[in-house]
Amino acid sequence: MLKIENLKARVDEKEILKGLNLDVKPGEVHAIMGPNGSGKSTLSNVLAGREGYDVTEGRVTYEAKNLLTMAPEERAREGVFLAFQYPVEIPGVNNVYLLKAGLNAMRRHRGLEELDAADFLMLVKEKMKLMQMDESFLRRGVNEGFSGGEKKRNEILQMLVLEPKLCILDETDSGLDIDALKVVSDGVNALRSKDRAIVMITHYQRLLNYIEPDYVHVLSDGRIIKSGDKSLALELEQRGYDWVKQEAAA
Amino acid sequence: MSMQDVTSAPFADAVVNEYDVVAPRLPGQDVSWLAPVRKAALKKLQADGFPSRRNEHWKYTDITPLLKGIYTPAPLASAPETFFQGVQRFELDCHRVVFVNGVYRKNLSDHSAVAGLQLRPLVEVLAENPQAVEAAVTARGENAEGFSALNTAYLHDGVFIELDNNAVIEKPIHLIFLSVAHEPDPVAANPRIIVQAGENSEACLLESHLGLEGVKNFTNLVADISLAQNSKLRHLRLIEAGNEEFHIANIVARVNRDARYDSHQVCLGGKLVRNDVRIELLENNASTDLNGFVLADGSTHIDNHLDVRHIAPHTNSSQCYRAVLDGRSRCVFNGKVHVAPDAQKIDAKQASNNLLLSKLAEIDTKPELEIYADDVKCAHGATVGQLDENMLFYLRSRGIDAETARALLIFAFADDVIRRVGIPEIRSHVEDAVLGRLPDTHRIKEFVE
Repeated sequence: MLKIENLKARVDEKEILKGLNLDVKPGEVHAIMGPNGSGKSTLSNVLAGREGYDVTEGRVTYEAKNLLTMAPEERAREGVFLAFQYPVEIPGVNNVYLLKAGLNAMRRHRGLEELDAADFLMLVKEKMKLMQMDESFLRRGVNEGFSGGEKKRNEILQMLVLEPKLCILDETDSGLDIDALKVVSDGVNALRSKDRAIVMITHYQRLLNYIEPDYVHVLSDGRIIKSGDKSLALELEQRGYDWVKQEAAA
Repeated sequence: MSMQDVTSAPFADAVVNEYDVVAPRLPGQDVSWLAPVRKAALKKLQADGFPSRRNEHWKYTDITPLLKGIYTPAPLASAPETFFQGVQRFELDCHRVVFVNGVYRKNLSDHSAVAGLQLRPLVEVLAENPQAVEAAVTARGENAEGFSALNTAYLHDGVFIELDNNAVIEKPIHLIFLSVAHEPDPVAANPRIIVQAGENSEACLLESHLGLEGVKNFTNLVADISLAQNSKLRHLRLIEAGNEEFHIANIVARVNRDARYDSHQVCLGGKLVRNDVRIELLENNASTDLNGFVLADGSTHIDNHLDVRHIAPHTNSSQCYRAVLDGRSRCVFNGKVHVAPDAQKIDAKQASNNLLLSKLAEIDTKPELEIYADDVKCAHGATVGQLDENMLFYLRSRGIDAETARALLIFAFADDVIRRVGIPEIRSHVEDAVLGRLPDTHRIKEFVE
């Protein structure tokens, strides 16, 4: 589904990704872990198409298409979803209408009929229940005045409604207390399916107790230096990152 | 001080030199106190001249193009034969008073008697009971300078609104000023609005200025509003002048104990618009909420000057102005808050937020705080910017195309202040004006609440 080959990218003339490789197949859950400054956020931003990230080498193929030449909205319509680390507040733009417009843009793209207001509202309310969100969220602006935890829940709510094929979660666990972490994880787990892939980018192992990955990768200095199964995450939690770096350097 | 030193300012000369031709045509010939007030104002204007850019408060607004024009004073203008369908455009259930080129038109107006409300053309008041407006006109005359002196000298029409004690007027009072072509020269009109709200009264005053493209008229409006104890007035000013028009307004509201004056000035057009709004919070718990929205493109110049005077303690004010500027348009916001030495425990807020859509558009925004009391709360903030890239990216990452995302953010920015307009028909009219200048409008409106 997603194939990243020798990806090199710069931000402000500084090379952050230095030849990253990753192969994600439908149904798989991957965790990408790494210390601060290893390139985790750059990777998620490059995949979502944010401006200011300059890809200098390599390829990213998504469902046999070149992802890097697609506009951010095209990526979204093709089924790529980034759950942001810091979701932005957009006062005056209604949270739910954004969701409706996004969903209908995707449905148009796929040649499906747009959902009418009543059907859409039913769908959202059902998903909101799952995320334990109050109905007052329906009337609020996008993330406007939301707490850190509410913003993260809102990201997952969007994901549940838009049903992307490839979910990229950027530090979704940061800033969550244990109850909120449980709710957010339940939301993500509800989306696990054989047709959908999930890439979690995270600093801590904690999230992986709730969303069990099939693969764990260690990102360090812009490259994936070690891959393994979920036991690797536990080992990292106990021993830190240094031993992996030394092993890779050896 | 001499007249503004422009090499050729026919209008500045004409208002003095040709006054004697106009004077016999002005209303209130039999009113003994009026002629001296007019003469004194003209003398003041002759002595001081019109404001030039050397005057701090006119630093960013050059009125030379206005002074270079040649106008027919409204009382001498011929009644236009055709005018456009501006009267019914809002389908608003209201008390309607219509002026065409500054002159009251009975056949277009609809303001039958309502208990507690006097709503009368000024010409009629000056003929029948001029003492009703004597204090207001005299007081304005004493303080007049520049354009308000001009209005006093040439005062020819307008409206007198009196709310009885305890009168609550349900329907908005809608003053419609239509501006239409006049040959050979455009018209200079000097209308006056006088509002006297009795104790515990409530009303909504809507003022719309509608002009056609290409019409070069000049409107110089003065409004004097006084609010007795515990009265409330909402004052909406909707300025949709044509792209060649000049619009100058000077508004003073005097607010007494527990009374409230709320204003919303929406500026959607004109060549040069200058609004001076001065609020005097005279007694405890007087308050004012001043909102404004500017949408401009082309070479439109819009200048809003607010001057809030906290004269008594425990008074509150807030100013919230937003502008969306495109093309080579220019907007000025000057928000002054003055707190008198004994005016303790006041709360004053001010925000000026501006969105520039083109590199050539310009905003000059300036808060001005003069605080002589020590126990006060004053907050102000100004922002000038382009659209937020993070917001744009967020919307696009959810499948919204770039153009719609931009339009949506512009609309959301504008709507934050437009929604405070209060009258649903007017709010929706202003929203449509914004949407009309944005692409992909059919998808945008549903986003916003």
